[in-house]
This record gives sequence, C-alpha cells and structure tokens, in this order.
Amino acid sequence: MTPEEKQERLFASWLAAQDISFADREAEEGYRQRVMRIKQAVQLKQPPDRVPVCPMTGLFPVYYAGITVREAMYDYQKAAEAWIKYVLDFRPDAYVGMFVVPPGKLFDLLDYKLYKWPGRGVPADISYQCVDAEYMKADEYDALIDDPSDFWLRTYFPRIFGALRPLENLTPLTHVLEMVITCGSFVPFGMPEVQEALRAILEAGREASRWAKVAGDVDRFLRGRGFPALSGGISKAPFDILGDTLRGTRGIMVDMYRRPEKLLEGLEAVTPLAVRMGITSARAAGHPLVFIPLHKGADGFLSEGQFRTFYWPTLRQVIEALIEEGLVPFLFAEGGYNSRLEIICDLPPGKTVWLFDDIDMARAKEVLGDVACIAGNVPISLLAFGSPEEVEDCCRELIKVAGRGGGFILSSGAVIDDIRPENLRALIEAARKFGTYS
Amino acid sequence: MTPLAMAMAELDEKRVLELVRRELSAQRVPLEIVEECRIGLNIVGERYGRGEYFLSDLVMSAEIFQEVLRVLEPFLAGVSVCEDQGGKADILFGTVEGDIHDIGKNITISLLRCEGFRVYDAGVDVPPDMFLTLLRETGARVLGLSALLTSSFEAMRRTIQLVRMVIPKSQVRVIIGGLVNERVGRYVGADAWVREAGEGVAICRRWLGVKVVRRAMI
Repeated sequence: MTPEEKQERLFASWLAAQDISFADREAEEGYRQRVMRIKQAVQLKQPPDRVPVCPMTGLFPVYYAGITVREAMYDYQKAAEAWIKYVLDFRPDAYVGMFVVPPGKLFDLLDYKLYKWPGRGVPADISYQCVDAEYMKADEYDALIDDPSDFWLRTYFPRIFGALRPLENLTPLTHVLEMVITCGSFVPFGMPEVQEALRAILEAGREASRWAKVAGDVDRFLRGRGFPALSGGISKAPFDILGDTLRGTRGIMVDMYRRPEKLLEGLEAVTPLAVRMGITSARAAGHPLVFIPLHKGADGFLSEGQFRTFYWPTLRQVIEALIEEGLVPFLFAEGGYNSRLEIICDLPPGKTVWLFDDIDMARAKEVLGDVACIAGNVPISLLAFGSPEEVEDCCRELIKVAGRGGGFILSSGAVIDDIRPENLRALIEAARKFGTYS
Repeated sequence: MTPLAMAMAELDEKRVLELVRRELSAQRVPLEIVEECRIGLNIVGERYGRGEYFLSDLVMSAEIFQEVLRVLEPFLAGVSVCEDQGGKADILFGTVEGDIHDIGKNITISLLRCEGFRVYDAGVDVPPDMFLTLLRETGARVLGLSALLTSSFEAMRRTIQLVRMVIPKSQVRVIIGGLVNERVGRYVGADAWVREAGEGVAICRRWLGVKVVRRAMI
C-alpha cells in the first residue's frame, strides 16, 4: 500500500468508529462530520464544510469544573467528569484527552524525580512542572547509543524514579544466553531492595491500569456523544527527547559546542525509538494523528545553522517514517517558529498538521499553505485577559488569513489552562460564525 | 578588543582557556583576566540583543565563563566574582510562587551581572512575602519577576500588590518577564514587561542609571 492508501485506511477506520455505540443518530452524524472536517483540513484536497475548531486545552477542564489540579490527578473519576463536562458544554470539533492529567499516585509510588506536581513541590491548584536537569551525563552518550533500552532501564530509571534506584544493580538483560550463563543475571533479582523496587513496579502497574480504564471510558463515552479526541499517538523530536528529559537544556546546548559528533550520534540512536513510539501509540489508539510537541527548536533557542544541523534532520526522519505508515504527525510548535518556516516546508503535501503559537500566520499560510494544514494561534494572553469580543475579532481575522481555501484548524497558540470560559466559548463559536466554506 | 575578549565573544572555549592560562603564567592579575572575559560576555549579550546570537550561545558563554573561573579560582582566593556583597543588591530577581521555570530568569541575571549590576537571585517558587522580606534586606530598587505559566500570573499580581502596599512605587519598580505582554503587565500591575532578556537589561540600565555598571564585578 502507498502512504496515501494507508492514510485513507486509517482515516476510514477512525471515521467508522466500529467499537463505538453512539448515543443517538445526531451524535453519530456529529462524530462523522467532525472527523471528516479534520480529515479534509489535513489532506488539502478540498476545503471542509467549515474551519474545524480544536482548542489546545491543557488543564482548562480542571479549572472549569472547579476542582484543583491535585484532585484531578488523584481522583480519576473527578477528572473524568471534568473532561466530559468541558467537551459537552463547549462542543469542540476535537478535544485534547485526559492524558494531560496523569495519575498522581503512580508517581508517588515510583517517587518520581523528574517533575514537581500539585502537593509534591507545587501548590494544589497549579500545573505539574518539569525539573530541568542532567539525568544523563555528558560522558554517557556511548552507553545510550550502544543499547538505549539498557540505558533506560539500568541508568535512567534509577535516576528519575527514587523507588527504582535498585535497578542499577541489574545486569544487562542481554547477558542471558545459554544455560550455564543465565543464573548470574538473576542474582540481582534476589536482592531485597531490587525485590522492593519490583513490588513498586507491580503497584504502579495496577495504578496505571486503573487510570487508563477511566481515561479509556471517557474517550469511548465522548466518541459515543459525537466527539473525537484530537490525537491518538504521541512522539517527540529526537533533539527534545535528549534535551528535555535526559541531558537537560543546559546540557544539550553545551553538547552542540563541545561534542557535536556525539550529539549527532545520540540523535540518530533515539530516532528509531521516536518512530516506534509514534506508530505503536497511534495503533493502540486507533487514531491517525500523532501528537508531537516541539520545544527546543523554537526561534531564539537555536541558530538557523544549529536547527538545520541538530534539530530538523532527525525530526524530519520521524515525520517521514510516520507518514510512510499513513499516520499524520501533529506538530505543536510551542513558542516562535517564524525563522523555521522555509526549512520545515520541505515535506510531502497533505500529510502533517503544524500548530503554531507566536508566528505571523499570513506568512505561515504563504510558505506552508500548499504543504501542510496549519493550526493556531489565538494568543494565550488574549484568552486569559481579553474580552470575548476581542477573541472573536482575532478569530475572524485568523480565519480570513489562514483559513483561505481550507487547510486550517482554529485553535489557541499555546496550552489553555486557567482562562475565562467565555473566551474559550467565543473562540469555538467563531469557527461556526465565520468559518463556513460552502 | 583583546584576543581574550574576542575569543570569549566568539565562544571559542579552547582559545579562551589557552589565553587565560598564558596570561596567568605571564603573572597577569587574575581580576584583569576576569574583566577581559566580561568584556567578551558583554559582546555576547549585545549580539543576543541584536538577534545574532541565540539562547544556546548565551548558555555556552556562561559555561565558558564558569570554566575560566575554575581555572582562576586558586588565584582569586577570598575574592567574590560576579556575586553580591554584603547582602545588598540593585535588583532582586525570582520566579513567582508555584512556578519553577528558571531558564529565562537565569539568562537575564547573568546578563545583568555582566553589566555590573548587583543581582540577588531569589530562586524559583518564591512566595510574595519572601520577595518583600528580600526587598527589605537587600535594599534592591528593582524587582524582577519571572513566570511561564498562565496560572502563575495570579501569583505575580499578588506579589506586586503586597509590595505596593508596603513600599512606595518611587522606591521599587517592578519588571516582569516570561510569557508576558502589555495585557499581562497591566493585569498584574508591573511597571514594565519584557519577552527578551536583553530588553530587561536595557530597562534596568535606564531605571538604575549606568553609574552602577562595573562596580559590582569585584
């Protein structure tokens, strides 16, 4: 099958929603209209009936429901109710799933070090936040490159999960070969502290399953009411995989100067992992869109030369490999991307979505309009502090500039947390008011 | 410009360290070496302000400077370089309560220090009353608040409200940075807002006058 045929098949399966029992005929029609709207916006073959509107909500459903972020992370049922309330009250064309409120107890059980979250380092009503640090040392590139899974299990896990620190005692799993050279690898599993770590894993697994069941139920319920999720799979740019949670911002920036060759090798090593992650997660969700948040390639972070050398080549490989499988990478370019447009336009048409934040959308449409569906970019500050009238004006202008001829999804530029609900309503209504094509 | 300052401006780490070692062996006063590096760092800051350098370059320049200090450390015993003295400061800087983002804050502080300002770094997740206490202790005339989360704007507003209740506007001016703009600035009650570290330095220079520049290096 060609990538086009594969993409058609994945969209058809998403559209068919065979495992879903719809609440009524209206819900079923609504679901198909919404999916079709997104499909047509993505494929650039013909404009949809109107501009799809898919706000990039983060914790908005939590604040809107009047519960704290902590409650949402620890009481899964409350989070589920918040999500359902948001979607049914606001009726977006697609919603960002409950994965943005991960289960707090899971991270308690694992004694997670990588983030602070409500009740564990930040106040109950504030978002979880990443602790930017070096979780992989500068001299560990070879260990990562030689055997990424082993590096993750025996070096990375013990650092980011306090409860899994004893896993550093394990031997590489590949030491198990024949009968007489097997026993040694099991000796560490007999250590009391390793057994304790394994018990923590079992408990964490039970907690993750409890949460996943609730999140899955929410997804099925909302689809049954006519509302698809915005994405199914997830992956990351190789540069961000290394820069966000392994080497840290400072680490990876310095690596570009001190050990550029090693960094490039490291990026090559994690690229197939990013591809596999995107494909596996999208297949599990039965959804063609793969969400890829982009961080360190933004304007101002890297020079154009650095972007072309370190950021783009491996991200492009990930994008192309996903496209090859018929998937649709949904790239969320946080921050500015004005200086990157001419570089990223080197992609096959009708296969990606680019959601922009701080960007000149007229220029984005001009440069990328024939290549990709663009999305965005109502400023988050306007949504937080503006009036509904100002939001409406902004959306009308955006639809005029970026919505011309299709290939546009109306959304916020950044993740929506605690904003005035009437402003989100104005954003969603604007697509209905001003976004009709026919 | 000296070759050392030039190498610093060009972010040529190998050459910077080579020149530092050469000057040391030629019995050059360590503080003069630091001063040359600072001139190079200033150029880095200017290039960043003009959009010729990027965050990566700023991070690398700070890294090279740290390496220089490591080499000079045995010769600088008892002298504090680029740090505040006696707990007094021109500028108090921190990320507001509930927010732990610090990249923007750290970059701005290092640029301010290179300009010679005495900056007290209050860290991240700083409660409003802590800012107030530190303002009193340090005597800072500028308060810099950083935040990246939209949900942190409330903490910014609370901090500024508390400061304004106790300290008159003529004594302490407030500048905010991060994911902010005119609208956010008005909402939280700041005297100025900036998106880029370089703009923040320019405003502090305007507010505090250039006379403090270079004073705080030693």
